[in-house]
Amino acid sequence: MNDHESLRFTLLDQQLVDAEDRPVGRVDDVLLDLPADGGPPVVVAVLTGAQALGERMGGPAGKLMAAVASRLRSGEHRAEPVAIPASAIGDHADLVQLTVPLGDLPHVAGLERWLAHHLVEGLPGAGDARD
Amino acid sequence: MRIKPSMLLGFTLGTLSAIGGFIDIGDLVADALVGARFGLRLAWVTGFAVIGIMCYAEMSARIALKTRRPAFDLARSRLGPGYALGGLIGSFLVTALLVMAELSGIALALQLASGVHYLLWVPIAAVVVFIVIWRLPFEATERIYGLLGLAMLVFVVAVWHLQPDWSRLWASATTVAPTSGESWPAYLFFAVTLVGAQMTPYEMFFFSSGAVESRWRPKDLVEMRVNVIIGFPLGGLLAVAIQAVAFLVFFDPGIRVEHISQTVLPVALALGRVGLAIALVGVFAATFGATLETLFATGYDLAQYFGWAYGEVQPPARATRFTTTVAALLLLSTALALTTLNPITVTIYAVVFSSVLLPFAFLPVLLVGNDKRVMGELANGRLSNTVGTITLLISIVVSVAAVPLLILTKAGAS
Amino acid sequence: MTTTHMGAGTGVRWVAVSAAVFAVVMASLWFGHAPPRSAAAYARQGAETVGYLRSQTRTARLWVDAVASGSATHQAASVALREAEDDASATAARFAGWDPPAGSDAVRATVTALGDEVTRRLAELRIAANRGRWADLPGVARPLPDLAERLGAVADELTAASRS
Repeated sequence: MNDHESLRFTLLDQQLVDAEDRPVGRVDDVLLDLPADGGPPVVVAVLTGAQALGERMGGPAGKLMAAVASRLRSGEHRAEPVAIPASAIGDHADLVQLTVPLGDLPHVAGLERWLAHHLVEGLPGAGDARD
Repeated sequence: MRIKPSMLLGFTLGTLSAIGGFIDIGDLVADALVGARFGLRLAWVTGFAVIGIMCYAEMSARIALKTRRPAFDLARSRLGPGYALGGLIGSFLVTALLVMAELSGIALALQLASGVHYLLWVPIAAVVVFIVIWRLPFEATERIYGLLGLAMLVFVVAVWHLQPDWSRLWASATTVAPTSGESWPAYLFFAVTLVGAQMTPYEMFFFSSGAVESRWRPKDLVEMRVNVIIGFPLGGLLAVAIQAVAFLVFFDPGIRVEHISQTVLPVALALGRVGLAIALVGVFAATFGATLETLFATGYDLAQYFGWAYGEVQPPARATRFTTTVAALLLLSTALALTTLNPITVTIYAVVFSSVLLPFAFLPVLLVGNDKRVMGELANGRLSNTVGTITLLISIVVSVAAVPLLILTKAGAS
Repeated sequence: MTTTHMGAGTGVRWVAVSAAVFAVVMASLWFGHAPPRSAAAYARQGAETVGYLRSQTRTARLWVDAVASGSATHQAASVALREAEDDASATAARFAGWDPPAGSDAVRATVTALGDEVTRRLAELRIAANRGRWADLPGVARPLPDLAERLGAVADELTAASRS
């Protein structure tokens, strides 16, 4: 691999896993900071979730996806797509690995947790979500 | 290379699942229907389908061995989220129909064994499927129904017991034209149906996701290839055997196949009650296995698109969105089956629409398989590329022609 | 992040595409489900119907033979006989539901009479099977081969009529 890679192959749409190798989501969009003094763009955060993806894709299907995903979320920040700060991003060779466990990112994968607490864990033989 | 006993076991079991996995409700319906109307004049389609699916199953498993990520996973990063979303929605709709048909297939096999109406078996089958998804480990279940699926070989035995005129069978198999009284559009429509029934993308996704879940590595390449090279042609042989027995029993009296009971009738006539019982076990195993495979393939598709945790090796609570999706699809399909919609008709529509989606499933696999940057020394060779490209081109023709033929022939009625 | 605004052009294109898809779907449905209007089309449907009735008659006959020779289980045969009867009555009812074009009343009379006969015979088989009178089944099924022959002859006649 050389030093110059397209964003599309290294970051965008790649699989995100947390520090314990649990799948978190995809890199659905990337937030860049374009310094006013004209310096090179800097990755501030990666966005994940259907809301970010829908907004990126645009069009009727994308808008619908973003709207549904936003509706499914709770909390005051639900108008904004889920962002993971660049400081939490570690190695990104095959997958994009985060340096923190999923537990430290309470706003990520909300539906997964909601389903775990309200639906799946109550049933016998489901296993433990936290081990 | 030293061959250990455990490897041999792996060969056999994997091969069995490939055979069992090849035959599903689509084959049980389409092969018997085609055999009764066209004899073996469409057997060449099965030959083509076997070669095509072998090529893509091998390619997608090879991708999974190398990248440790299944084929559909790479479709999104390669072709963009829009393309992948289209494929996802299409395959979700088709799979809902297919799961309904497979579930009804389980119920129909139980009905023929017990005499109790199939609608009563549908919810029971759905509950058993759910328990298997919830509790049983991936490889064990795959192997149980793969092994039971071997009961389908009774169709091959039945061909001999019906004492066919072999030269007539051969003449039929080597003729590419509709039988007298049948039209070219109907002939081509059933060619499309066979392609849809036998080149099922879910087989490919399932094969590659399975390779990831079983944590196969490049050193397992040989075992994987042996499974492909032995398993799929044997599955194709079974398909041709179903066509052949239907030809021998139904063609001359002009009988049209409208039920699974007619698919197994030639076996009963050839081999008696024992044969019938074995055939029903085979039908049960094939449809049961295919129900699980279609459900999982859809769950995998969705989970991989959004990057969710997924999989049979995870306990349900570690992959709740995956588990919920699969359960919801099972519930939807059960409800669909309980509407008393004719499962045979639904099967025909499902396999035709499935053939429409084929090129969308093949293209990303071919692109990634060819990418030396991703695949390194495991990239496609000349053989994979030639066969893969030809298969892709033919699948595009099939995809474009499928729906017009469906309408023109009124789903094969005339 | 980009936001797309649907321009007027895009909106018009969407409506046009939707309308075209809608038209194609409606045309296909009409093509698939329109009743036969000409005498030839009606005769062709009659031939098709009679062909299916013959197929169902012969299927039932095969199952009876299979049970008689001990090749098939009672459970499977009773299911299959009921399926044959259900199919036959559905096939006959579908044809009977179409209005015959002028001059085709005789075709309708022939086909519906055959439909009634096949349905009645297959019902007798089903009832005998469900009462457990398996030994009587070959006797009840005795008229079936003749009936199938007649159905074949009528199908050939109607096919010829539809071509002339």
